Amino acid sequence: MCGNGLGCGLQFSVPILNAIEDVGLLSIVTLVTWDYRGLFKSTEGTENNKLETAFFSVRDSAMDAAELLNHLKCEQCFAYFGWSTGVQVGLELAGLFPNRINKLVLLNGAHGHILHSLLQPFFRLPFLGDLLHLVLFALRRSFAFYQLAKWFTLSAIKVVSLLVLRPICFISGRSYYNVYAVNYFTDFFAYGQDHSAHYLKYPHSLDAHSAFHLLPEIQVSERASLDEDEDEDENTSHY
Amino acid sequence: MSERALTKTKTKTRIRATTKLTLFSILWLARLPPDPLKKCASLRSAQNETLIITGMGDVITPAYHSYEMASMIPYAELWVANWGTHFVLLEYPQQISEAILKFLERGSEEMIAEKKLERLELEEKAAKEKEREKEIEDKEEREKARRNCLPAAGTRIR
Repeated sequence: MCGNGLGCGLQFSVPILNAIEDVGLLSIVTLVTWDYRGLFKSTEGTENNKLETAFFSVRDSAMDAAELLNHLKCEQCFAYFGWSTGVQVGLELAGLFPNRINKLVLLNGAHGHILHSLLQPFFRLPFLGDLLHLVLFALRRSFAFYQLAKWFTLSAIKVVSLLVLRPICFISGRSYYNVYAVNYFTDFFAYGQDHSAHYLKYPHSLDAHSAFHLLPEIQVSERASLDEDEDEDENTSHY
Repeated sequence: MSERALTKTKTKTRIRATTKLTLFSILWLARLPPDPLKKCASLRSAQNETLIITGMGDVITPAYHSYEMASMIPYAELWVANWGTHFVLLEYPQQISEAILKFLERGSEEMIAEKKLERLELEEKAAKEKEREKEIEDKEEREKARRNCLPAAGTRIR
């Protein structure tokens, strides 16, 4: 099972998945991903009570993952692979249903309060987290500010990709950095204003979430019942 | 000693003390995440069930988060890329995939071997079935061709 980063599908884990496929693990195990609610082509919630379900909290997305496993009739998945946002979702999932996951792989994650720990060891400005909250609110609420941000980022990414990213690609010898960066920012605006509004709600919820107190009690299940562990494949993502 | 010399020595000692203090405080503030945490994590990693990966240059979700997680979660293992950022996935794909594969295969080698065997058997079965289906289809096609050659029932042949 693969928990993606915020605002990107499986694309960021493709280099690693390729390496895993070369070994032949993907022929045994199948891979599941899902898009978080309200992002890309996923819906916000049930049609009857959108307000109740459209909080976009971390617990909601963890419950979605559990529901996906239920739908696929998978009692225990072989491994959970989370990057960035997926880490918090995975921790929540492991806390809620310890028997559903056999192994956890957490990449570049946090256990909570991401806006308050952003840039933290290096950039010590007081009330940075609150300031970021305000900026997100402004982006979400005012249409003009959103349009301005859209115009600015879409024009700036071209310049940045020419002046910064392409030299980096050339030096590192990996041409896909540029593609990933441009795709990420264009995807943010490509699915309409609703999508980007939902996207901007997620940092709030990720900041409100904290699994720090649960860390010592996180127990991934033992290896006793290995007969049923399988990750299934379903393309709920837009790729 | 004269008063001047005394004051000189006093000022020297004070300057030394303050410089030492400032240097140590700067070092303390700019220190890397302490190694004991890593040792704790590695001690507990006899029976791994979680793997945590970070880059030290990660700014969006700082590395200390992962260090804390590795020290707190029972049976956790840490893998740190010293020059990695938030996009370690793209920067060190080979190393990370090796680490992940090692982690996944540890303790479940038997299961993976069994699954591979099962998969091979299934593939063989599928190949055999395909051959059978092909034979049946060939037969049907031949029969169809024969029927097409023959005139339909009820027509008169002159």
